[in-house]
Amino acid sequence: MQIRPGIIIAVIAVFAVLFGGRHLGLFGGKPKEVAVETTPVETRPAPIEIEPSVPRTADRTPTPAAKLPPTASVPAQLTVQPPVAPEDPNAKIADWEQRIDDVLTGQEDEALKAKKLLDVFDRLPEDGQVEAAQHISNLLPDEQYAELGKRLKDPKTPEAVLEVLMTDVLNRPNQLKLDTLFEVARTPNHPKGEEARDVLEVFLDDVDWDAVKSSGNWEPVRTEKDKWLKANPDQE
Amino acid sequence: MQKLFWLVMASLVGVSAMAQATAKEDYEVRAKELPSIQASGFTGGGPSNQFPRIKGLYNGLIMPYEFTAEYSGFFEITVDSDRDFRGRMIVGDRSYPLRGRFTTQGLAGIDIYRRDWDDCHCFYELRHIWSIDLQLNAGTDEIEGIADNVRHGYTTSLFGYRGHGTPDGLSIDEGRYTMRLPGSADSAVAPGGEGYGVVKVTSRSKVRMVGKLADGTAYSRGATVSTNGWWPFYLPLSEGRGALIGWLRFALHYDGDVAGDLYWVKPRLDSRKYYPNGFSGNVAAIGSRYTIPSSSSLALNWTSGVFYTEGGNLVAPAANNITLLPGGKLSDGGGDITNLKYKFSRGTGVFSGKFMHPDTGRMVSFAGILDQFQAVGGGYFTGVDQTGLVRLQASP
Repeated sequence: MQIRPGIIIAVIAVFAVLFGGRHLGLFGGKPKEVAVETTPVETRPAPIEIEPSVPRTADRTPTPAAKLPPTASVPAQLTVQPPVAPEDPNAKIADWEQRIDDVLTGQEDEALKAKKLLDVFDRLPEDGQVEAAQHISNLLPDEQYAELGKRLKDPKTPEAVLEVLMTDVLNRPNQLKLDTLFEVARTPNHPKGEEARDVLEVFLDDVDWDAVKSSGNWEPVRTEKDKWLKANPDQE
Repeated sequence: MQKLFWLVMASLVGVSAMAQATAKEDYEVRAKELPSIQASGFTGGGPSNQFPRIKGLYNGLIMPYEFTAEYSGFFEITVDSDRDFRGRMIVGDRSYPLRGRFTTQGLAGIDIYRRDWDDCHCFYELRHIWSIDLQLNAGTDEIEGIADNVRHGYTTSLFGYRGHGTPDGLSIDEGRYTMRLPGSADSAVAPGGEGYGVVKVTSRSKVRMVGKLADGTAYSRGATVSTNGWWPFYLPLSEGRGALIGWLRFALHYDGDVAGDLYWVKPRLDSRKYYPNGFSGNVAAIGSRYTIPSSSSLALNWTSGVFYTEGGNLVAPAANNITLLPGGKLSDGGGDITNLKYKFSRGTGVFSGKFMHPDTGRMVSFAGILDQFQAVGGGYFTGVDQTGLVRLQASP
């Protein structure tokens, strides 16, 4: 159970008045002088674990579990850890099931989990992307849909992933849905372009689709979409 | 002064705790103790562990015993081979997280709490919202459960199936379909016109439908078809106070390729142009596979037919003779209806247009879809305060 911020601010404000007043002498005489024990500030860093980036000598290659035993010349606290290769931010994730599982079992909120999955999305193999897309679809609130929408709008996204994302967007509010599908429909060679156009066609009665197809001019569709959304807001 | 100091320190701890709380989600899901039930034919451990085989995406419907739209909805969870599950449920247009772990007996129990201010808006606390029990039924791909809404004091039930997934091979239901949602002559049950849907089933059994209901509401929904062809359909309406909900099944029916009963509830809303009193009743949805006609072939298997209308504030039914042309075009042969304008989308099977209402003299819109199995077209037109039926059918 937590206390409402207003109450906390009020308490702090009262404290500030009392504390300030005390310094100004509003609540009695001078404060007694007391001896204060000070602790000397330690300027040296505490013993740390050393993580060399490369082995120092060719004949001393640390093993993953290696820890130097304490000797006379090496302080007991000093441990040597193996070099940890930084993760290539572009490398595909081999153990993608475990990675997805790790994110999903975390304690943070659902939207943050979705964001974490989106962060690793491009490094997942196709099967991993399909599974991640399904989870993101369930986790990501409408207010943060833009990041997922980017994947749907991208014609290079694998088709199996697009299937999940198309299914997802049809369950979203009309504003998100129509805006996203409008972009998908007018993207040349998008695998879901035709289906997106079919959805728009059902929603937008007064568009001359033959003219749009022949001219490639999508402005009348945009105008009609905006008009429709204005007349049919998501909240009844 | 010292007391004050401790009070401020406590406040600061409160600030820290609250900062932590606000960084977390609105809901907290906790596992609850389950009674030790020995479910037959089920084991989640050892060599006969069934979870690697039954893992997958489950989706289904949430409905109380006596239907109430606010207590109904849809759920979707992914079960993995470690018995963990994650997903969400939508009840009355509100979404709640579902996550936890099944026992080796295929049982799971969770409590869902929402972080919220108390009644005096003084303290931020956890409120118990749902108590849910789930059960996987061995060998059936079924999931069922009971959800008690602790806060509002009602109980609703969940039922669903495992979706057809990659391990099950390509979907036999893959393809395009057109769906008709017939109305009713009784405006307290449903509008007079027919709604429609353009349906696509993918090779991985994702099913998507976009269309219009017979009261003119445009909609779209997506779900996953189960391993045995069931499709849970849920469309929340009027912010969850209404719904179109029910099970559809892909199978060879005598009158189509996909069918089922949907329950449609639209609550009263005085400011609504059509059906302000609302309605509630069953819709016998029926659909069939759709083959896109070429520009030189017929969309239905006839040429001479009738464009028929009834209801929708018409004093009497009205009809025109028509000729269907290659590519789905239509030639108006005249009759009771004037100024008939017709257009057809070959890709979807949807037709639409306008005609002059014989009684009001105003141009009204119509829309519908072709059903190639029954060789008819069904749709609605907009009357004054009701919608009426539009039917394209072969001449008798």
